[in-house]
Amino acid sequence: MIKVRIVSTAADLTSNLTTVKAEVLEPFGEMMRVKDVVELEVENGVNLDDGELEKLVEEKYGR
Amino acid sequence: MSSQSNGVVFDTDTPMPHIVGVINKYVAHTFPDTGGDVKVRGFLTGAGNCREYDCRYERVCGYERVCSYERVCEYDSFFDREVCTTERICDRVYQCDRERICGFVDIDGYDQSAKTVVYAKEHVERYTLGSVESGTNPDFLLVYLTANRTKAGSQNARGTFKTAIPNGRRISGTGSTLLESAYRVGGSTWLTRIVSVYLVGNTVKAEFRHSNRYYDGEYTENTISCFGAADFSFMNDDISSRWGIDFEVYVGKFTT
Repeated sequence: MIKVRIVSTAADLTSNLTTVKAEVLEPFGEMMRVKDVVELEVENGVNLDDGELEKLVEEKYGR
Repeated sequence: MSSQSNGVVFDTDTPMPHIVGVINKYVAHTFPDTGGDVKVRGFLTGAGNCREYDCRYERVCGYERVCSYERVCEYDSFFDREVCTTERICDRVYQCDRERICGFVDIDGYDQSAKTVVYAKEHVERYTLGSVESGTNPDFLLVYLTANRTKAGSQNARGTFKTAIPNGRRISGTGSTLLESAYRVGGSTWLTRIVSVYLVGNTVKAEFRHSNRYYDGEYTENTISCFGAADFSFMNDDISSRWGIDFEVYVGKFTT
């Protein structure tokens, strides 16, 4: 079961495009370890909160 | 809790501030170069400012005295034979020639001046600095930051962007901190770069906000060139800056 943690979100406010950088974590014994670092471009993502963005990355990563 | 003069320092019956978490995080952030252009205007200076060495052929005509020797023979009846003599015959002849003439001649020069423009941009990048335990619901933040500008944006005509941040010194960073700004001649601000630290639920975020209006500079660079249009491409501004910031965040809550 993976978990997504947002590292940063970047947006050009004039273009409505948000770039989300996130860490994908996986269980590692009693800990979690960073399995991957991904970037995703989201249209109209400026108004999405971290929870929504994490869910979006999780969906895309799982595919 | 009272002070030495019996003044109340902490009234524990009122909501008391306390620290529920400390977050340390280093963030390296690059503010964007928004792109721009160099505008050039100019005019021909007219002859007299520049000279060049030039050669050309000219047709030169005139009368010339042209002489030649001719062998003239006549029959001499006394000797019964032909007697020849050489005679010099001259005449005025109209002649034309092509002559190569070299020397310095006046030519037009190019008087040009240039300025830069920078395109407008609004850009924001938010970093997650860390979180406190779920359900904490913090009330306030105390932030220290130690910032280093590792690359400074600049303009050809105005130099490096101004900053009031002491390089490598630990300063208070609660709320918003102006990292860089740039001004037009006359005072109005056209570029700001601000870092803000704030709470979203139990998470602490740092936001780097870049904002610049279209910048249309003044014609500053001037050159007179005798050899065609000058190249001003060296003037293109690189306004990108890079900052490395150590955040030290004390996450606080009031007792209930």
